[in-house]
Amino acid sequence: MTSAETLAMPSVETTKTVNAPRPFYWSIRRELWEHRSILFAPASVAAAIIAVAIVRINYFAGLISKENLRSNGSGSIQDLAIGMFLVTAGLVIITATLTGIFYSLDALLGERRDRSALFWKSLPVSDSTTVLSKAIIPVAVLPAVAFAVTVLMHILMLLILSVALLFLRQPLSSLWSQLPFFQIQVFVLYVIVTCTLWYAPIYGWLLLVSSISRRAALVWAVLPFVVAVGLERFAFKSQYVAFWLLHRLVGGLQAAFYYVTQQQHGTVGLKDATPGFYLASAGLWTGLVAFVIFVFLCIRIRRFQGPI
Amino acid sequence: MTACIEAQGLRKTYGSTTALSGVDLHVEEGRIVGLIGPNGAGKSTTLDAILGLIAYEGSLQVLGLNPWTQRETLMQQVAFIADVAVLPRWLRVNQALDYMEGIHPRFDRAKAEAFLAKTSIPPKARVKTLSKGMTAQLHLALVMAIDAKLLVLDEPTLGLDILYRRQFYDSLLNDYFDHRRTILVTTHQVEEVQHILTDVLFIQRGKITFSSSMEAFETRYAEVMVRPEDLSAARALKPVSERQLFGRSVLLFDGLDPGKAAALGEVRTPSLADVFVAMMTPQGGIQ
Repeated sequence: MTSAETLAMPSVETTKTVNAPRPFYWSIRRELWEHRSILFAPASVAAAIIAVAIVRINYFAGLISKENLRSNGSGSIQDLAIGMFLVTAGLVIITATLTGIFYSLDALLGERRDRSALFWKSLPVSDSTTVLSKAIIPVAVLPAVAFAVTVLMHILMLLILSVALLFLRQPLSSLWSQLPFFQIQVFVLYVIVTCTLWYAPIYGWLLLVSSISRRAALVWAVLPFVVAVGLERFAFKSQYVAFWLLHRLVGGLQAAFYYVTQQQHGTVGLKDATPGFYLASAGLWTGLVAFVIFVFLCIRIRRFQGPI
Repeated sequence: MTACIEAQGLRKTYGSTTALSGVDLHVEEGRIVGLIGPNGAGKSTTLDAILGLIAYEGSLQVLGLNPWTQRETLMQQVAFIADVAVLPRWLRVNQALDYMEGIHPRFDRAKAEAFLAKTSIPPKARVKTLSKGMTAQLHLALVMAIDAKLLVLDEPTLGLDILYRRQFYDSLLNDYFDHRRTILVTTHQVEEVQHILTDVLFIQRGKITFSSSMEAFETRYAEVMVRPEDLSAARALKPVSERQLFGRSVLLFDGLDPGKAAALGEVRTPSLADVFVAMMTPQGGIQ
């Protein structure tokens, strides 16, 4: 090395640690940095629910207090509390689902719109890694977030109700003994898993649209189906596409709770779960195949796409 | 010397538009090459092909790899600044460092931090709160901390003020370039890169029309402010171009004997920009 080259060497000499790169892990972290709503949306809904529970603590405690129960007959504390826990869980799950929909629509469009795709593509992270890290957000990360947030929220709700009962000088035993807390969580998990897997092709489709469209991804995602339904009704006076869509939207829950949804009666619980029927339904597996195809297409397309 | 970039008959068409019509390129290791051309000449397309961002026809090897099929491997050894505004606006400085450290086997975080410490960029700032100049500094800090064999810069200083532009190239030359790395840069600010280049390529209408080392370039061209009485004699020597300056004719010669040139009038060494304009104008590149 000549003296001139020595001078030109970087002034900062550091001991170079060899990083074992973990592109997939960091790509997911990257998504969470960019789309903070993945964590914030479900968490803020839960926080709002907890806030309401604290503010209206008297009302809820009154609902499950002895006097109220006596006037309503036995067993209703269970139904009431379970209802409260399930409705709040539902709100969190719906929020997470909506977040997943809007996330998917933006996932592969946003990076092209703000030209940051050029930065991401300048790094040794493959299109497969990038697309898979984006696809896993709505089908694994968001459901996991929704479940964790729900469990945490339910624990807080249980504590708040307990404190309320203590203030009303009521025994805690009725709440704690009658509320199937653990079963509720298993039920919530079952609903989250079955719905997520059933909706996977929807997320895949939205990702595909976001990888192709240049703007208004939501319109492009929905329009083909609206047109198809309309055309079919107009031209053939039939509604196969509409039924097919409906099946994709509610078929998951129907398969997951087969008998009870066939009878169309009142409350659904863990005892009504039909996982075998769900796993045996063709809709689940064709949907998952479609999801895989959509993700594969996204990977291929991202390779050819530059910034808009 | 091994070839860092080797291209033969590189072609690219977008529909009916031909972006590259047979680019031949040979860039050796350890050079700083300027790829200079008018708008739409195919500069960015050439860089995109080299970076494996687009499919192309013809043969192309970058660091011995096929950029389209071996892109991932290639990008471990290649760093790239597309232009000033490609860092995502939501990204925080420390997140950028975390991410780069996490995904890049050749990224040296301490080096990036040392460079950032010399700037006034707050460590937790989001890119959207940074000025354009600071964003460029951040991008440069990230890229300079990569131990890359090839650095590709596509208009890296577009829209920056003169202070940032000067600093950008100074940092590049002093803190990064070490005669083993290769730098390929395209820019419109020809005057500002002239002193750092070792080689220059002109691209016009999808073809490399001129290629020279800067040493050869400086001895090759002469610009003569010709005395009016010698004008016809000078024109007989086939100048590359002729322009008027203060009512006198200025002729640009390629490879003219210095003695002959001095006999015609006042001689000066033309800048890269002068030769670029001269070569583009008569062929209708720009009028």
